[in-house]
Amino acid sequence: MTQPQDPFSYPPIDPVNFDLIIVGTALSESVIAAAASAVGKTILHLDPNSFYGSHFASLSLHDLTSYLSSPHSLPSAAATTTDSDDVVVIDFVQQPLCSDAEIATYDESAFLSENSRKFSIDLGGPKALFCADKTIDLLMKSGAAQYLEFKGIDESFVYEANAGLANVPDSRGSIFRDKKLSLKEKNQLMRFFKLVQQHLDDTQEEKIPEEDLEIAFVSFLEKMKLPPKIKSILLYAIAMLDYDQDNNEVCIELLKTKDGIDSLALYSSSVGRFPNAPGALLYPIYGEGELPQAFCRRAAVKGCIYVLRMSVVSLLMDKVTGSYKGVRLASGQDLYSHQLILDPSFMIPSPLSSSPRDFPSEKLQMLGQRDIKGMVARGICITRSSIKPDVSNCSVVYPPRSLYPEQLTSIKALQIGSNLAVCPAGTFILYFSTMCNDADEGKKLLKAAMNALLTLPVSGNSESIPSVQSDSEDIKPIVLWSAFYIQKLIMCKLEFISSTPTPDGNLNYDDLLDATRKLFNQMYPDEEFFPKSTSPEDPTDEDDNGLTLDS
Amino acid sequence: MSGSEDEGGEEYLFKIVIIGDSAVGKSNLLSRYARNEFNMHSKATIGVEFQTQCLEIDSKEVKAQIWDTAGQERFRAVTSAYYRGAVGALIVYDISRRTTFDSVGRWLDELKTHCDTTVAMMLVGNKCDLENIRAVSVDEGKSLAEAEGLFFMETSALDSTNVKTAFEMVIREIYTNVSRKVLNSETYKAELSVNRVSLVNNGASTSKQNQPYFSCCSR
Repeated sequence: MTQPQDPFSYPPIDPVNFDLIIVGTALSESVIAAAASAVGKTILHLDPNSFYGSHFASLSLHDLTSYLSSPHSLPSAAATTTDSDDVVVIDFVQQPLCSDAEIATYDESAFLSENSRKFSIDLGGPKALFCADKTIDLLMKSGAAQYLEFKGIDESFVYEANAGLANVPDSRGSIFRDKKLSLKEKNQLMRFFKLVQQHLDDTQEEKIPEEDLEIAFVSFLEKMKLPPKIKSILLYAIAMLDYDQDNNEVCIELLKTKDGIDSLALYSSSVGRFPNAPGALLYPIYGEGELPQAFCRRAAVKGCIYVLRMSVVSLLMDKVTGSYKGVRLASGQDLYSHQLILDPSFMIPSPLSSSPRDFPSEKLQMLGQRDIKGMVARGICITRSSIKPDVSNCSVVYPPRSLYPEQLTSIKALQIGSNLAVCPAGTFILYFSTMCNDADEGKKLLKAAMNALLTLPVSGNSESIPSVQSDSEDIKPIVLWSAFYIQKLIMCKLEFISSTPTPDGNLNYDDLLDATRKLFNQMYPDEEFFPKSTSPEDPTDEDDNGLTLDS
Repeated sequence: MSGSEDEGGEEYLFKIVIIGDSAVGKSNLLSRYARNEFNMHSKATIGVEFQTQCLEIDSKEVKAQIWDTAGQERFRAVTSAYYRGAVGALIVYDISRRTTFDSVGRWLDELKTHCDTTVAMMLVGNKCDLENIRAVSVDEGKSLAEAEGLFFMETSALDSTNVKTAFEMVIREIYTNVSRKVLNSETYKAELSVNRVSLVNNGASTSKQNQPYFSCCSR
């Protein structure tokens, strides 16, 4: 982050009335800014940070360290309210989404420091897009795609206990080339895929029976007599499930067969969709932080006003009706809008210590209640070598119980190399994430996953000798730097003030963008989400789109 | 968005960015150069993306893709993505407003922070038609440009003074550098360029799968 400048040096924001004020530039906020701008709403879009993306940002190494080490948190006191002519002023508190951060530099600290700006590290990683994701269609439909470029993730692996990395068989050719699958397993897999293909093919009459579609996918796979190894690949590496489907007591989300088939369909239609991307996954060049920026640029082109380094300090409510009226900026300026969207880190603590007589304060109580739906534990490592020789970018899934018997959740990992402009040449960034109930559990899971593939020095001073992994000739990459942190999963909605979803544990963005679209539809039920702009009033768009050239 | 393209057809595509404070005339410079238009009522930039302009240099076709800020500079909210891959930059100030000249250093810092591929940068003192209310002398502009290693030119988008010359000087300088292949981190950028996937103009791939998972044919 550049040295923070006095926000009061900004000129006052003009006009002061908007259809919508948005605080925070995470992916959901940015998509809504673009969608609302596209239908003519006047919008003010703010971010307290000096960078775009909020908790979906991609940051330099130094900025990431600063962000995780000292998250901005205003003192968490009871909310104070002050009286004014016609509004009640209620102060916000800001509670960071990230907590329990542990950061360690093990080696080459001078190199890392000198090259800090060559890193572009995702706060919400691991994140990628399936080539057939709805997110891809949204990028095209909204016009944000013209600001982005991607590369394919070369390989997808699944971690197997005592065996290391195995390829995820994602095509007929890869199944037969696979050296770890037995011939019997290959035939079983091909038969299963053929069954799924026939089910999805509208011209075929042979379908999976309706009663099978309603049972648990894991039960369906057992019914198909698929061996545990293949079941595991289908459930966790292709359908990307988080929770152990074989553990009925603990499994939070038991997937139905019909949803499992949909996941297979998404995966299969992703493989080879784009030239230059033979696998199922894409990753944006320069990191996931490019996605919110693309939507913000789109909104700005349509007239949305952007302000960075500007926080909101208070909510302005109508004294009589208790309705939302506007916000007070850190600069002291009051601005008004019909609707407000808040970054999920902003809230009003309850109870209110004092409120004017007869003020309907029950509406405010709801603002203080956040629906925390769980936690994501995230880990990041920087290494000098790849977890797989000759592979720069790859994804890894650790199925439940692949690391230790009590491991109840999947762990997702993603390695990105310098050919995606996220780190200096000769280095790699690895992202890990898993769902968890508390920080200790989450970190234990992540460290087990890291230790399976990487060498984590015990302390920064120890002379670490590379250890050879059993059953493999590969030498484990040595970690130069690592970070662990916990992100809360939050979602809530009020009638005139909305809060956007936080980064979830999914590898892709579709669930998040589904929630974003629903939010947009709730706010603007009569407006279309990114209508096709064939209007002659937008000749610039058509001209420029036509002028865009691929490299 | 790529910095440069050097392929069989000997075509070049250069990304150039225009930066500077609000209302210094960035959009009018661009519209004057690209479409020979000037809009007297200067609202914050809305609806402008970029303009592509073709030039012939040494019998080769050179395309310049010149980007405008879309108004995000007004409250210091230009995205880092805006700078990605730019090989040229025009840093614009208004000669009648001293504060816009004083901001040039900050714009240079921002450019250097987010972009390491820029090979041609020009400091532009716009609105030179406002001689009677000049607040920044030509010498001051020249001195700052020299100190920072920039080209320098005063322009007027209103009366067209030096606009074409300014842009073409930047484009030619980029071309000269590219044809000598002295781009920064050349090997790194080459690695960056390989196997890109763009979603724009990929309509053919949208509706059908090139290599469906369940294809009967083996890859």
